[in-house]
Amino acid sequence: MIRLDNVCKRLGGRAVLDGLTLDIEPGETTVIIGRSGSGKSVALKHMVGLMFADSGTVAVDGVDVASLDKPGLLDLRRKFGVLFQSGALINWLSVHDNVALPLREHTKMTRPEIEAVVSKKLAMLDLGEHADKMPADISGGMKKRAGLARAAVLDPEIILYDEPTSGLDPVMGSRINQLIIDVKKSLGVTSVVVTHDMASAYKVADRIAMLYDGRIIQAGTPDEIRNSDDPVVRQFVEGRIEGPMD
Amino acid sequence: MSKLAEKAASGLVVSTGRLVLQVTEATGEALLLMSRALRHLTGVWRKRTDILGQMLICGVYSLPVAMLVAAFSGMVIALQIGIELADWGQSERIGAVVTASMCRELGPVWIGVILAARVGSAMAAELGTMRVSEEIDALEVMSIEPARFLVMPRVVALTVMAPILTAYADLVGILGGAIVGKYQFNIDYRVYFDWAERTLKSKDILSGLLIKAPVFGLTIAVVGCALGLRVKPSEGAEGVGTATRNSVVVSLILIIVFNYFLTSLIRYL
Repeated sequence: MIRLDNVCKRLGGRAVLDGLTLDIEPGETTVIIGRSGSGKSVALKHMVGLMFADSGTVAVDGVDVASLDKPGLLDLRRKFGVLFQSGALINWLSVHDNVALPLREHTKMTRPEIEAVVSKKLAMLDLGEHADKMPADISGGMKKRAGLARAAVLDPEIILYDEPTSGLDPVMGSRINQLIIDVKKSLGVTSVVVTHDMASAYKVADRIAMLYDGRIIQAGTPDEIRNSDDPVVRQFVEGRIEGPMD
Repeated sequence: MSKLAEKAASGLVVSTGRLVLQVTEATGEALLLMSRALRHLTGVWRKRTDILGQMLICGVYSLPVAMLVAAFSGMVIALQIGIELADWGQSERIGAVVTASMCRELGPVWIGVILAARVGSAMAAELGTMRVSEEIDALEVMSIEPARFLVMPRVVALTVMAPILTAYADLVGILGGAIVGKYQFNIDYRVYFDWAERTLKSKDILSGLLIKAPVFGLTIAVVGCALGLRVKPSEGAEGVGTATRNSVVVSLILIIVFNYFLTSLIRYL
């Protein structure tokens, strides 16, 4: 479904991605793990055409993202829903209006139809009673849930999650993990999760890929990663200070 | 030439070249953004709520400051010119000078300056913050073009509100001049406005209101939005601050430069 082939990207003179190759299979939840600043979010942005590779290719359903013109890119992005790290809610729109925004912009649905869909999504994420609140007036967990409702409102084929549990307490983190699993089950979407939270990765992943030094050094099932012989992967998943990682 | 001098000279050439490249790139981006925003003018009716909201923010809320500045501008011109004209026994012509100055130059230019400082900077800060907090990325991922969703309503609102504010500023400035004429130089209101009417040509009013003010409004909105959107997420608060400061500086420079060339052009109309 998504194929990153030998992708290289330099930012500020540093090779953030350096030969990244990864296949995202349809219907699966692939979790990309790695240290902060290792290029996980950059990889995610390449998938949706917010960034373009210096070399290598990123293809979605066989279409090279870099070859698309502006309208083509807009069409491609409609396949995606993205949950940003901070929720990225539009600050002057209420929670309800944020979730309704993609429907208002991209569908010919009537106001009552939009209300029905938005109410359903907000109820699914337990946000019904916060619909009229502004983003500044809700907690980080609520922002993430509202961001997830917005990402899922057009029933996309692929949902990308950028650090979905960062900055949340463990209970709220578990709740977001469960929502990722529920959304995958109810919508049948392909999911890509970027995180350094191993508890979250083990819980939601069908497959985990470890990004280090700009490339994937191991990809496998959660059990394969948990029992990896690679010293870098072992150090990361066990959270040890000593090891090959600086 | 010593090696040190050569190195300094080459450094100057490189930094000048870099600056030229940056300015050219920013200008190109701003023009591209403007063309994209203007291409979406067909969607004005659909975005009417956003446009009216922006008109309220940039226009109505700027009115008190604009009126205060305009009133004192008219008053100070009347005072300065009045002193000179009194020496020649021509004080009654104050109305002519104040009216011509306000309508041709000071009205549109002062409104441009106020809007650049108050509205253009706010646009740069708002869009820059949206860039840092990934809201712009979120819009792009939702296939919602920032040029249509964010820039077009701001450009339309400021281009429409700048002439309206200028009309008010002209009027208030002329009234301010009349008050100074009356109480400092004992010029009767009827004489003041008689000279004002005699001097004022429809071209003066139209050039200020229909040419200069909309051009300044458009320029301020495009510069503010373009610099705000140029902020990189990694630049954080510092990037937003730089964009805000630059939007005021660039807008003011462009207003002064455009004012000269528009005045030259209007002479031949």
